[in-house]
Amino acid sequence: MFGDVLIILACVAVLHAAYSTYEHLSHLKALGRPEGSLPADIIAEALVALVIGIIGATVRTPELREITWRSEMKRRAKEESDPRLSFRLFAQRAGLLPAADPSTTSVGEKS
Amino acid sequence: MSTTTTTTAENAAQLRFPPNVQYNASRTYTVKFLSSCFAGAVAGVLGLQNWLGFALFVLATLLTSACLYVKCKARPAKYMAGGWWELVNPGQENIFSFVLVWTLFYGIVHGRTQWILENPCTSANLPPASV
Repeated sequence: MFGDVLIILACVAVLHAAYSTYEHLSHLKALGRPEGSLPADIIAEALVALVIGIIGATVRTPELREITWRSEMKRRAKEESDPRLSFRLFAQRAGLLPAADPSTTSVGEKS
Repeated sequence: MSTTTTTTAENAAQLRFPPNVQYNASRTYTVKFLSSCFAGAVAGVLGLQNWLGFALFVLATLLTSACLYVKCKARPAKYMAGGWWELVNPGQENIFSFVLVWTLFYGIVHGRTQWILENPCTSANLPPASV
């Protein structure tokens, strides 16, 4: 949302700078003066528009995702990766059964 | 049973999760494309020519890399395969987009479009036809 606002601002600034430049050049042409350099404020507006546009383009992209398998596995539930299907683990996570008591779990079973 | 040997590059590739790599590549390409377009527009508006225009493109690419570095939370290795070049490169064929928008804005702002609109092609304006 904020990124989109920045991009729109940058587009408006670029178009305004373009129009200002065109007006300035027409003004010079009407006076018969040769083309010099542009006024400093138009140059500043154009460069600020560029910076704001790039920042807005970065801000509006959604969060990048980590590329390792490990980070993806953090997002997934344990049942998907644990090959030992156990209704007890699922039922505890679903709240159907009370949570496991560490003293009563058997050897080798993670609670 | 034959044993297969994997190189370190293949080992590294096996540790990566391809859908996320693709997702990140797609998002960063969008950012680079937008920055190329803005750089082209500004280069055209300012009337930059020759190497000055490409210098602005290089500057815009560096600024984009800095913004993407911040987006990666200063750990680009976690989000981009391919190291620093992945961060810094301007994107596939984005230089052509830059030149396209540059010539577009240069032609509109600094060109003689107004003159052409005011002086349409009449026989008085065109050179005489030669056999």
